[in-house]
Amino acid sequence: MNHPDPEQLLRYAEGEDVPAAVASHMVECDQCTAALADVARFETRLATSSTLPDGERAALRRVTERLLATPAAARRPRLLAKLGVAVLAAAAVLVATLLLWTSPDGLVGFDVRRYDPANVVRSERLERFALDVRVDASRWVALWQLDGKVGKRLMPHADPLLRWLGSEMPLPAGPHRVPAAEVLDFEFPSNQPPTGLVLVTFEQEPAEGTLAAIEQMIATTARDGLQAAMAAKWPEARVLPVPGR
Amino acid sequence: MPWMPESTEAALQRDRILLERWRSGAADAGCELLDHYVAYVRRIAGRHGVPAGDEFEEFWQDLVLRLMQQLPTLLDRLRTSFAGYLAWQVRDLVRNWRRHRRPPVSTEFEPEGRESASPAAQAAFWEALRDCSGRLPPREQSVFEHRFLSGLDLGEVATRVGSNANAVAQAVFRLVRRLRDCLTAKGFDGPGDLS
Repeated sequence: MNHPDPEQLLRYAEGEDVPAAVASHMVECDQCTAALADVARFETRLATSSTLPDGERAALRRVTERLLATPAAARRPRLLAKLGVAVLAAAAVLVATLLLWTSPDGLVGFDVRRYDPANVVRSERLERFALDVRVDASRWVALWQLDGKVGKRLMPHADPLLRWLGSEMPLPAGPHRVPAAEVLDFEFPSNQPPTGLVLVTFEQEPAEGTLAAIEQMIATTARDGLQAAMAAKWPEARVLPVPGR
Repeated sequence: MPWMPESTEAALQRDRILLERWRSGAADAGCELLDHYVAYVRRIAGRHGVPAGDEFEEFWQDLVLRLMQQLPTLLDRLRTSFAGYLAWQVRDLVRNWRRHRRPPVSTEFEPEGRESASPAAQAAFWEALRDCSGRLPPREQSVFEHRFLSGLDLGEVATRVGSNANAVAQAVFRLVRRLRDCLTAKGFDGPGDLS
């Protein structure tokens, strides 16, 4: 029997996509199965023997519990995206709403919803926000959080699997929740709220170079001149304040 | 006959059960499963330059969200161990994370901190592992450190040791057998050891 390369065996073991012949070989080869089982036992032993300070473990456990508190989001993200506004209304305490109306093309309006997460230990003093975005034509959306001089990109996310935070891009004309589900909402410490947001809509998917150019402008432009500078280059750009408490 | 403690076999079975329950909607099962591996993820992410504290918390959050998105098909992907699958996911997520930040990678051998359960037994295991890995041929010792302690993928390990991915994979199988024999000789093969 010809066995797959060791490299392919290990890639198969980790769940990577491998040629179909490797997977079918594994069904009938006890030798390869035993070899991988040896590695799996070793990995599991190492993994479960790793240690962490109790305080850090507890903090991360709280993060996990909070994220997993909305299991429907994990199982059916697209369905939840459709139900997002209703879920938010049930779970969140809406403390402020900012409604702005802009030009009739592309981005029509948006609400910034800042709220206290319902399932977070109070001492953590965390808040979240999400946006309700309305577009009158198909649009891609990019969003940055302003913290002092820094523009932290919120969407598209760096992880390709989370890139559009559950939304189907481009957003079709109509109202949308961004992120698509509450579990993906943006979080910040209560004592360090973002100083603002930059929202830009595009007719086409923005290239990485475009996103980098926007970040460069955010980093080098005074805040009071940012809206004008952004709009001059990207007409559908909006600099938004984050509502107060 | 398995060379690892029965508790390790039990851990593999436990992970599958927890995953099944999590997929069925039991969030507590997902929390329990991830709690078993948070230190492991912290170690691998740390080796890849993700600092502790707020940045790791953010990284952990992204990882959990990623697993939640993959949950419907995760059991199908889990071919041998959740640890192996998780290591792959961490590496992939770290690559995205690195595009934005590039701090130095640490190189310490043992995990930091302390575990509330059986700290002495954990320490004994790591001491035995340190001794056994020190007896490996130099090339396999490097592969062990890069692959199992730093969590690098085969290609990255190959680059570090001046080889190719297939040769590294061969070394992985060999060194696991050697470490198995060495650890067994040191008594780390009985039920209940170091669970």
